[in-house]
Amino acid sequence: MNAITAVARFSFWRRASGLKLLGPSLVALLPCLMMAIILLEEPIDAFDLYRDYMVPATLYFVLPLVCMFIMLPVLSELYEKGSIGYLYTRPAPRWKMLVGMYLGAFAATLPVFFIGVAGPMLLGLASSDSASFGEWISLSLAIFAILAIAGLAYGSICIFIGVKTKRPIIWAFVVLLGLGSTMGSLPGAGQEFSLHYYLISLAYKWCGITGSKTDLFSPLESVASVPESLFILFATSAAMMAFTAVAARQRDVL
Amino acid sequence: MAFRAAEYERFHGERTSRPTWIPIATATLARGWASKWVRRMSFLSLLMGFTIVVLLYVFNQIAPDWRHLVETAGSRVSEQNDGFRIDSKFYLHLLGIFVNPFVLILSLMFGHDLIASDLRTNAMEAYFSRPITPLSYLFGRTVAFVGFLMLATFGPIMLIWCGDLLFSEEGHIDDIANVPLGMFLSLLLSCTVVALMVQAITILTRSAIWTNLVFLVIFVMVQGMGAMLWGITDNSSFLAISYFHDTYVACAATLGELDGLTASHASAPLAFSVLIGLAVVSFSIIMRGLKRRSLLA
Amino acid sequence: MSAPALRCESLSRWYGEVQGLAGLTVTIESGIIGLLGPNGSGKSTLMRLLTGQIHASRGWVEVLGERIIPGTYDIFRRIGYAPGEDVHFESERSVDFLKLMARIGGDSAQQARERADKALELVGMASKGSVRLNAMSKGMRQRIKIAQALLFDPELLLLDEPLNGMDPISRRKTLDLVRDMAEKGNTVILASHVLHEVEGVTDHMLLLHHGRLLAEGRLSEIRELIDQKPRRATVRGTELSKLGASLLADDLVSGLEFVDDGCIHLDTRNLPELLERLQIAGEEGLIHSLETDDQELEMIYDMLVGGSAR
Repeated sequence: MNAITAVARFSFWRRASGLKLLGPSLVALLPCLMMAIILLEEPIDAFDLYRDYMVPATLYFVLPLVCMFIMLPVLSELYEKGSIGYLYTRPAPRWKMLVGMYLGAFAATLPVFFIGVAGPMLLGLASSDSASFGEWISLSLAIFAILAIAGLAYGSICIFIGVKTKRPIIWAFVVLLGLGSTMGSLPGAGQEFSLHYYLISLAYKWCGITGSKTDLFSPLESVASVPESLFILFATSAAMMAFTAVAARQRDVL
Repeated sequence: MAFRAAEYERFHGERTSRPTWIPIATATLARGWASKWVRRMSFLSLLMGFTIVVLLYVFNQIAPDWRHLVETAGSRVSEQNDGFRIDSKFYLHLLGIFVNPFVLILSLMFGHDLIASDLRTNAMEAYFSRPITPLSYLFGRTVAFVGFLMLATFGPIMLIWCGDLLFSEEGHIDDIANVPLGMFLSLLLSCTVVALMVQAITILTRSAIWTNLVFLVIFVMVQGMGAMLWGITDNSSFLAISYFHDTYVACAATLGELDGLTASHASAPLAFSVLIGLAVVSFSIIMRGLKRRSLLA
Repeated sequence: MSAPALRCESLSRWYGEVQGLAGLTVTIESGIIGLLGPNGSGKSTLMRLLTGQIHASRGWVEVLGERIIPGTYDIFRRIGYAPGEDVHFESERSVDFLKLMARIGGDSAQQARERADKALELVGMASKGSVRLNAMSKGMRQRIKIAQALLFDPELLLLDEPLNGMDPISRRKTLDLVRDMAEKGNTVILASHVLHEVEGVTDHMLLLHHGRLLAEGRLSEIRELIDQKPRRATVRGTELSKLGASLLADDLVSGLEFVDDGCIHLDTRNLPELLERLQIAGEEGLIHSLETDDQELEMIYDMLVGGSAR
């Protein structure tokens, strides 16, 4: 466990120290900015606006981009610079290094998700009186939980891409935004092959979203159950980390 | 004996009249062309254009009056629509095929490394110990990258235009005569904005991977945000925060088709202002960053 | 009987069409071994193969009796490796970097601290523990690299170009450290192209060139191997043409070259006898100076490679 915790701590501070989280935090606050602009223009209830418009936007854009910002460079940077050799020549199996990097970087996403959720909540509380404080807290906690669980899954995909490929950005863009957010939002059978579908299903169940207000959140004919969604997301995380361990063994450190 | 300190000094020798941005541009072109994926993307876009040309030829062979048939069918489908005419407005639709994907892909594949590699390897010190100004350096890099972007965007559109002209009846030239110049000017502005933005982001982030990530935020997330803001508030000015929308409006304006657009769009002055504003801000950021590294300031 | 430090059989690695290492078969028992070669000779490739960072295209390698493949990790409790790459954990303080490396090896926080302090002491950086790596000079980071290799008192120390960027005092201290390690019974493989400095710590060499093993063994053994190549003596003096003619007549030289009126190169396969003759000529006042290529490593390398090693 020493190896995993040591690497996790290192990975967390590597991603979270200084102003490194400023960029991802600004991305996470973009829905909050949109809320502010819309509330100035339109007499719309802030709670409905956040739940029906900003939550989908957060899942569609903010989640994959924050994961890409924080988790994609975790291993790809070390491979690029050759520094991964220092870790791989320690008396500890490589998978421990990878798990530690993954957990540490995932921990660094949590403050960003918290900011992305707290910002709109505070704005909404200040401007809306249709929803109670309890409703806001309940919605925000639900969104934060979905983002955290999604961060595990998307983060594991980013880690795998960082190890497996030499063009991580392009692959992450295709997988997370293309096959993820876009395919998960288009109606049809392809939805169920996208992680985004299961995130939407959780959002339906936990956030009380009842229908689609934007094209980013197509109404689902059938919504996956909570156990099924959680199983898929956690299983994806575990599977991607297993693939990462295999890929790390196959990839030469040059 | 005193040692002379080894420092980079301003060049005092004789200078040639050859513009110094040319070797920078040619080196950048060579570097870009050496990447097989950049070559593949460039060929892909030209191939797509060529495919449309072939389709025009085939339609012409099968039914020489196919244009009239399509126009008639279009006007029957929608009364508001004046039919499906291949005029300058048709070329606006090609932007969605050639500009949206290829500008993004080429920027992710090649644009991010224009300056990043020089920053990473401290090559700036080597560059600016030669008689080259930051402006020449920037101009050389930008010209080369704009060249690639224009090849992938303007190139196939011009292929299609030539095919359209070749396989059309007399008089069709009047419908599409303004396309080459109009498209060239608007796409040149648009590609220059992208080239400058990518380099500005690199100057700020100093990293290729961060450049790509910020670029994705700007081009993907902000575009989505613009569409959402417009959808909720019905204020079409919000569409102007999307680069691709501004490119579309700028092209429509240069082709004189702005009034003919049925979909909501930002105003032309706003679109142009956003594009030019982005270019100016990016240029300032780059020049400030380069001057700090050039030791000539 | 303990296993040899290194054993490899037909070890090869290609990078596409480029040959990084070709058919290396060698056994190293112990001691200090200089792994020498110019840039691109395969030194770093061999180091990476020894540490399981890359896959071999062919052949195998054993270190301290254990077969090495990518993913092997237990052996690193007995191996210390200082790579050629710079340490890119920029924001870490040097002591924190070493503690991290120790903790990954299974140490508790306290144990890791002790190991880190000891390693910093060994490389003479005890006062620099709180300095961040990105604030250090290249030479200082080189010493930190060596410190992390020494953390677990390794039996085998692999150093890839450890002297790069170091000032002369640091180089000397590093080489002293290498000697100390060897005296304790450990094995050190020192990859370098700084020939005269490696000569200062060992005469057991592996010479690589274009991925192939040129020669292996002690310098004197290598020198004997290439004795079919003539030795060269450079003589400066007067009446050199008369001297050269008489040496040729007596079959003491296989070739001679007049550089100018006062200088002559003499090639011989019998250097001792030649030197005796030249000594007589020197006593007659005909010779002003005499130089021979002795057992300099660079000379040997030049002769083997057939060109400049620089």
